[in-house]
This record gives sequence, C-alpha cells and structure tokens, in this order.
Amino acid sequence: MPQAEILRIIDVHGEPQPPSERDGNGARPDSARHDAMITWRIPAENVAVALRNPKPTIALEHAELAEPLDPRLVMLREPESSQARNYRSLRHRLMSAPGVRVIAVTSARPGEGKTTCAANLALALAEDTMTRVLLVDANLPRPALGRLFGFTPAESLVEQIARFLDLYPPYPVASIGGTRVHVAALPERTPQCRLERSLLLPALSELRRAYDYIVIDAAAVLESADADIVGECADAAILVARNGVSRKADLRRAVRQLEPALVLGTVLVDA
Amino acid sequence: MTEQGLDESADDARAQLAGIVEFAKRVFGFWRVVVVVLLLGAVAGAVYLVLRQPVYRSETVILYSEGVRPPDDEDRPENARSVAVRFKEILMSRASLDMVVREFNLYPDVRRTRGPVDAVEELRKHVEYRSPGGDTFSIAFTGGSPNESQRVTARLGELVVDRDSELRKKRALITRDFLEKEEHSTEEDLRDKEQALAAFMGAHPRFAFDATPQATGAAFRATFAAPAARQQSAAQGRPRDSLAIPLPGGAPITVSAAPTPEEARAAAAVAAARTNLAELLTRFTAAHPDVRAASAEVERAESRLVAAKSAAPALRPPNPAPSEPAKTAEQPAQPKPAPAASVAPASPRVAATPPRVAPAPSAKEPETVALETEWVKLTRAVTEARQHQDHIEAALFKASLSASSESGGHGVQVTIIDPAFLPEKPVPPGRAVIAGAFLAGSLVLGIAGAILFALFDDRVRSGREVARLVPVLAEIPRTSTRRAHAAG
Repeated sequence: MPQAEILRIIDVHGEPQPPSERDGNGARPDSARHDAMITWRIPAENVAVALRNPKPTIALEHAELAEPLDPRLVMLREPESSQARNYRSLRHRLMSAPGVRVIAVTSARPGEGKTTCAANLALALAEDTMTRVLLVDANLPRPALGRLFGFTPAESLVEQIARFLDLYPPYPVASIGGTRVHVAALPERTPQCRLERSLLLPALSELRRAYDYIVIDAAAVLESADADIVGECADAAILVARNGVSRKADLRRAVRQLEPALVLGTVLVDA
Repeated sequence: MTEQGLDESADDARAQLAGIVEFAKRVFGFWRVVVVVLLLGAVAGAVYLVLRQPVYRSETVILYSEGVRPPDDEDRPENARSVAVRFKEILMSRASLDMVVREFNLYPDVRRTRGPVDAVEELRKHVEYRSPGGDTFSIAFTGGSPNESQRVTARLGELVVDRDSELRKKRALITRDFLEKEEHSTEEDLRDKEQALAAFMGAHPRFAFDATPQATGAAFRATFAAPAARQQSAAQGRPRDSLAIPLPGGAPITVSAAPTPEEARAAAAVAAARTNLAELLTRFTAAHPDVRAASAEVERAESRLVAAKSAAPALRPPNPAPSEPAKTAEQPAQPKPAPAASVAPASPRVAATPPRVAPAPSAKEPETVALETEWVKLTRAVTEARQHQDHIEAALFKASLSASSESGGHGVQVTIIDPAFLPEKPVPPGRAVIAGAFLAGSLVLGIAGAILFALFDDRVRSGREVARLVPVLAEIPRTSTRRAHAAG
C-alpha cells in the first residue's frame, strides 16, 4: 500500500488552524501532543480525490471541555479505573469485529446509559493515536452529548438531516479540547423531527471517509423509530442495559425491533 | 463417574448456587418493601396496644359430693356428666346471667345501645365453664378489672350452688307429695277390688277353695256363710258340722265340719281338679287330651277323697246321684237333690261312664265360663292392685328419705372449695409479646413481599441473565459517584 499523505485540518474557511492554545495550560500532555499533531491519514487513492476536491468533509469547530469534567466521562476522569479498563475491553472486541466502523449505541428505554457508553467508547477508540473517531448525537428526543461535554454546537448535521435540509460536506463537527474525539452534537432544544434514512446514509458514507470509527448515540429503541434507522445505517448496533433497571422483556423487544440490523451484543452498565 | 462428569456436576452445583445467590440478592434489593411493611406493622401494633384494654380472669372451683341417699339408690350414683350439664345450664341460663349483669352493672354501653339481651350474650362470651372430669367444676370470668372479675366470679359460683340446692329440694318435695297422693289412690283402688272379690266369693263360695294365695281364711268363712251349704246340710239331715260344698263339674262334695287334714286336702284337690277341668272345657272340647287328662285327675282326686272319708267314716253323708262327665261342666252350681253317699261313687260314676268324645255343649256352660272368667279377673285385679300398692309404698319411702335429707342438708353437697381469687396480672399475652408478634409478623410479611416482588421482577440483575438474551460484550461496573447515573 502506498504511503498515505498527511494532510492538515482544513476549516470551513480553508485556512489551516494552529495547534490548540491549551498546550501547556493544563491540558493533558497526551492531548497537547495530539493537538499539536492534528494529522489525518487518508488512503493514497483518495489523495488525488481530495486534492481534486478541495471541499473539506468536515467543518470543524473547537470546543472546550467543561470543567469540572462530567463524572460519566470515566475515560478522562479515571483512565486507570476498572470502568475504563472495561471500556477498553469493549473497544478491543469491536475492533476485532470485521467491517464494523459505524456503531450505533442504543438501549431499550431511555436512561439506561447509552450516552455514557457511547461517549466513553468513543474516547476509548480515540486513545489509539492513529484512529479517528467521530461521536454523533442522533438522539433527537433527548440530546445529551452537548451537555455531557459541556458545549452547545453552532450547527448540527443530525438536525439538518432531521429537518430534511440539503446537507453536503463539510459536515459540522466539533473538536473537543483535551480529547481526540470529534463530536457532532445536537442542540438541547431540538424541534420535533425525525431522521430520514435517505439523508443519513449518504452523510455517513461521506463521513466514513474522514473517520475510522463513527459512534452514534441513538435514541432508545422502544421510544423512537430513529433507532431503527440508525441501526440500519450503521454497521452494527450495541444495546446498553443498566443493571437493576433494564427489563428482560424490553431487551427482547428491542432486539426484535432492531432486526435486520446486526446487534453485536449488550453492554451492561452498573454491573 | 469420570472426571469430566464430576466437573460437570460441580459446575451444575456452582451454577445452582450462583442462581440462589442471585435470587437472594434480588430479594435483598427489595429491602425497602421489608422496611415499609415492618413500619406499618409497628404502627399497627402500637395502635392495637393503645386501644387494647387489659382483661383479668378469676376462677372458682365447685365440688359435688353425694350425701344421704335411699338404700336402693346407693348403687346408682348420679351421672357426673348429667351433673356437669345441669350446672352449666344453671350457670348459662338467661335468668342467672341477667341477674348478674344488673347486680354488677356490667356492659352499660351494650345495655344502653342494644338492650339487656345483648348484654347477657356479652357476659356469656366472657364466662368460662369447665368440667375436667370427676366431681369438680370450675367457673371463670374475664373482666376489665381485677375486682370486678373476682366479685362476678364469686357470685356466679354462689349462684350455681344456691340454684342447684333449691332445685333439688323442690324436686324431692314434689316427688314426695305426688307419691303420697298416689298412695291414697292405690289404697282406695285396692280396697275396692278386694271388696269386689270378697262379694264374689260370698256369692260363690265354691271359689273359696281355689288354690290361690288369696283363698285363705276368706275361703272358709265364705264357705261357712254360704246359705246354700247350710240349707243342704239341714235338708240332708247332716249334722251342722258337716258341709256340702257345691263345686263345679259334678256333685258337691261333703266334708265334715271339722275335716281331717287328709280329707281337707283331698277335698281341695278335687275342687282344684274340677276347676281346672272346667277351665279347660271353656277352651277345648271333651276330646282334647288336656281335657281327658283333667278328667282323669278329677277321678283320682275324688278317689283320694273317698279314701280319706273312709279313713274317717263318721258323719259321712250319702253321695248324690252320679251324672255324666260331660255334664260336669254343665252343672256348676246346682246341688243334686238326690242324696249323694259319697264322692267316691261320683268318681266311679264319672269313671264308670266312659268319656264321650266331643260332648255337646249345654246351656249351663256359658254361665260357668262367665263365673270362672269373673273369678280370674277379680283375683288378678286384686293381685295387680297389691303389687302397685307395694311399688308406690317403696317409692314413697325413698322420696320421703330424699326430701328429708335434702331439707335437712344431708343430701347432695355442692360446695365452693376454691373461692374466686383476685387476679394480679392481666390475661396473657402481655404488651411485649404482642409487640414482638406484630414485628415478627411484619417481618415475615415484608420478606414474603420482597420475595414476591423478586419473583415478578423482570429487571436484569447480572450479566448471566443478560447473556441468556443477548451476548454480553462488556460489563461496566458501577461508578463511585451517583451523578454518573443521572441520565443515560
């Protein structure tokens, strides 16, 4: 395979961005290093395409993590904890699954830990320096990723998809300071709308080209039909169940409802 | 078993044990249910203890003992069970309990709202009567205060003793009075019957020699007083001290006025034989074997009389003319006008004439039957009347004894051997026991509720349960901070 060229990030204006100003200001050493080397590796055959098509895939905005960190972000708060180790184990299992790059994280009912699981899974995947990870908030009824990371996005690609707006690259995403994860969050107040498969699928196809893994925080299966659409558009789905909260009957129904999407398995939180 | 089998068995055992532990954890997960039920039980117990009034129980014991009894009744003591039933009926009677309710002003609220009848019923619920066997009986009352319990219990015991004594006396006196009246009545009846019998024997002296216990001196006196006998003696020129006793079934027999014992016995035997023959002829014909046997007996008795007369030849009147055997029953009371030399020819007359088969009934037979029947009826009536009189006299004797012993206090003794005591503590269980029972019951109910909740709880509790539905990719342990569980 030919050696991939490294391109730098290009923002919506086409100007390269300097490294994060957080370097040396309390940012994590590894994150500072990562910010300084914001590099992308793309296959060589796409270089020509990229050079021919100077339009960027993503429109990146920068966001700072809210302090103090949300305790649910165990990968950042307690990277040596048992929870972090288990997320890494989950990451390993997903990486072992062939052809799985777009993962829908959902649950049977709301409040069972899917946002937490999706965020930590994305952070675990992004620990590999050579891995590009996008975390997408597709939970239209209850968007939570913005609040989790402590920012409000200016634009949301999922919202545009849900509004049936024409959506073309660059897709708006946010780079979270101190992490190597890009987040496509939803504003907290999202009007009543639903996902459209014909719009989501091409967007995900485009985004596949820019990211190695896309983790989608979907709505609850038994709450919204959007989870089915996300499951169909993704390579696989993960069901999150909370110990002592999730019901077996709901899990069975959720699995049946997600068909024919591939359900890799379940992540049991609060075990 | 192979090693693999052992491993599998061990795995199964561990799996079962793990399942049990899981279920136990699930049950413990509903500890709030247990706490809630426990609290409710504690509250209920507290309310019950506050509202519950302590009750006190007192008891008294009565002893029943036999006193002076008529001799014949000594072997028939009163049945203990009947005594127990009688005491209970006296104790639980409405009149007795109503008297106690009014005397001690029990259950005023019940009396005011529902009436005295319900108050009596309320008292009945709190009165306990036990007959453990033997001669002792216990009475207990449960009341709201120690003094009340003691006084009411004592009163109940006294009530039973007094009422039982009163009933006994009354019964004995009534029995005695009744038997006295019955005695007068039976005496009059016996006198009437004896008079009737004596009148009959006077009219028909020949029945006087009947071999019946009643025919004793009256028989001879009647015979002496018989006018027909005196006339016959005079007509026949017999000395006044000779008698011709008309007898049924044949010629009259003549005996001396002072017959020898043998002659008297022979005459009595003839009379008895002829009477028996006459009675049989009223039921059978002359051809009947019993009639023939009776006829033969008559002949033998007449022969013996003749022999006895022969042994005393003086004052032997001539026998009357012989008659047919069949006519012996037809001529029961009429003496033969022809002089009869002795009875012996009469017997031969009877013996010389061969017995006829099936003699024709004559006009005199119904009269004989009627007399014999009347005689039997009268004697039986006297016998029965005398037996009845004897029974009445015996019963009156016993009743008089009973009445005297009851009136004098020597009859059945019913005494209180254990007076009602003053209770010091309320009837168990105590407050601590009740509170403990409430708590224990609540705990059991709470645990049962938790188990029920656990059984019907469909929530996942372990990776094992989830793995039965969907493969488990990872199990993320619980975080230390609660904020991590806020929203999914």
